[in-house]
Amino acid sequence: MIHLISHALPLIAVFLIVLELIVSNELAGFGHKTLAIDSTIGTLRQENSDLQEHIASASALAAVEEKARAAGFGTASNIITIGLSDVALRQPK
Amino acid sequence: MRRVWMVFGTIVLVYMLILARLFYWQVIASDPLRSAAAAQYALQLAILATRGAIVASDGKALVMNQSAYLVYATPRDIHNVKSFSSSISPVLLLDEKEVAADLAIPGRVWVPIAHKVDISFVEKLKSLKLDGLGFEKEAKRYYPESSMAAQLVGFVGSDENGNDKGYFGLEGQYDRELRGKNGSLLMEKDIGGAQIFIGDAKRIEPEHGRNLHLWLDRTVQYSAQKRLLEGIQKYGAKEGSVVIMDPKTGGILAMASYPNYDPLRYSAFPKEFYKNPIVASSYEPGSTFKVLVMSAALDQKLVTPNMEADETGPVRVGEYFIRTWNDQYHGTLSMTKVLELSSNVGMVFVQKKLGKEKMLSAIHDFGFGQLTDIDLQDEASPELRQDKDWGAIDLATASFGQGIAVTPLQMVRAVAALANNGTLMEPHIVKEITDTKGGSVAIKPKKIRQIISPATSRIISEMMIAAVDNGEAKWAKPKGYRIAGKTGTAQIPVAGHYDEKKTIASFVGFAPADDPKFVMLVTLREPTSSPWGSETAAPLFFTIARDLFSYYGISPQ
Repeated sequence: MIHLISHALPLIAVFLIVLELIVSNELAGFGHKTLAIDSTIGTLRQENSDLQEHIASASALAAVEEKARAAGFGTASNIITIGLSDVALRQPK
Repeated sequence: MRRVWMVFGTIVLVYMLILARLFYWQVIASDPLRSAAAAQYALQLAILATRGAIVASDGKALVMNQSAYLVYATPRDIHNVKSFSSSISPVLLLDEKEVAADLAIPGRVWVPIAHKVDISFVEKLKSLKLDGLGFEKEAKRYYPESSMAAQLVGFVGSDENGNDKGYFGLEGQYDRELRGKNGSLLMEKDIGGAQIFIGDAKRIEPEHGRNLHLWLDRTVQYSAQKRLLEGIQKYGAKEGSVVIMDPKTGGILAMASYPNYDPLRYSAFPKEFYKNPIVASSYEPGSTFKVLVMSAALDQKLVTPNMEADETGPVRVGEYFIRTWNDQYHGTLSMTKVLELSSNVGMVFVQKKLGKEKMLSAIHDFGFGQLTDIDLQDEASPELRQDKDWGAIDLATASFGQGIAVTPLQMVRAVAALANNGTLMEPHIVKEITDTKGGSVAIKPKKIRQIISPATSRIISEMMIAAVDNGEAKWAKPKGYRIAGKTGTAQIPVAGHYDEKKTIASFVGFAPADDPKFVMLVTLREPTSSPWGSETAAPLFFTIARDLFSYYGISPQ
């Protein structure tokens, strides 16, 4: 058994060295993938920001008023308030 | 033997030379070499912090960020400077000769052409496919509501190092909170510029700017701004302002003034427009001040609403005569009638009842002559004369709001105390500050002091309701609503005397009077259609009040 292990040790060492080289090389090249992911994140953030800007612009009060006017809405001039006494379900005394 | 020693000596000499050279490269030249190596494999990037947004009470942004770019040139990559300048100048609306001159300066490797350029222009420049033209992302402020609340918000300019800095209004007051702090990324990169994962890396996350959440109501602000502009045009006024406050919290619901400016193009407007006149400019309040003096006298139980004053003619104070605004006299007047008819003679009676000490104490208690500590950068307070310098005539004229200077904010805050059971509140624009990590800091309403009792506030409110219902502006008042208010028409002091024709017309009030939702002050400077507050500022107040009743769903009482 000891004889077997002593023969296998150099092989194991060589295998581990080669493995480390492969993994390190892979990791060293991983930077390109993260660069691509970062770029995608940046693009999506930009799209979000642009959309927020469009929403803010479309919901600006001046824009809403203009659209309402174009759609035929006008300012209410005579507002009638219905008081409690006019409610149909009010019970007579 | 000699030859052996010569060879030995030569070998030793060579080794010494090698050692000396090694010493030079590893010790003396190590720092520059290390820096040169780091420049090749190390990459340092600034991670920019985004500036915080300014958000109205309905969650919609008044100020936010927009993508923009810094356009720059690298002269060594430009083949033909003249052609380059003539291509980019029309797109960026720059002077072609100035751009060419900038690029021609010898020794420059990097030349900024334009800052904060919109993405649409950048796309056009990219389509030109010019060598030596580069783009770098830069944040730019965006105002979805355009110039609405411009003086309240302020603007973002540059400091001496070219970094963004807020000036005036909220951008100036909260610049540090809005700015945030840039982060950084230091990493090892390969020849392609990609990060080496097994290398050293140090990342400091940016602290993005905090967002400001305001008391300001976008709809109320829009209405105030729109109606104010209509009013200035209708009444031919030079300037005007409207400030609306929640009397219970001190929160500012709207702040509008004209002339104003576009914060996106602030440099195109005169610098005097940047200042917010509601917090930074002073005026003599005129008859609107009467409600404050009257409330002080009521609170001291020196007068009652039905107590009568003699108004048979002008009243003498020292060598001066105080007359009514229309030189008409009504015999005897109750205190309620003094406010309804806006009698200066009646107010001198009240002031004499108060006496000097109590009158000055009331003026100080209501906050005049002091900053309100509102969270805006440009607040100022006109100084009051020293207590010992107040003469009899000064006290008499101050009782009807002349000879005393106040800011519109001081005035509306004082009247808000009458609407808030006699409690003076600290005015605030910002309600809450939030960060991008979900943290928030609420700015709670702050009570300053109790000025008059709740009972007195109810009495003065009823007197102000009577002043609106029976006074000069009753024709403009919305029917069915209990609105407490007072008109004011103050002459403008010019070079030591009062101008006979020019006035500041104003109206201050709160509604619904029994449970006030808002307190509002409207001022118009030098209205030409009529000098009187009852014919200009008062109808404008009621027009805005109608909008607010409709918006808040307040039915007639």
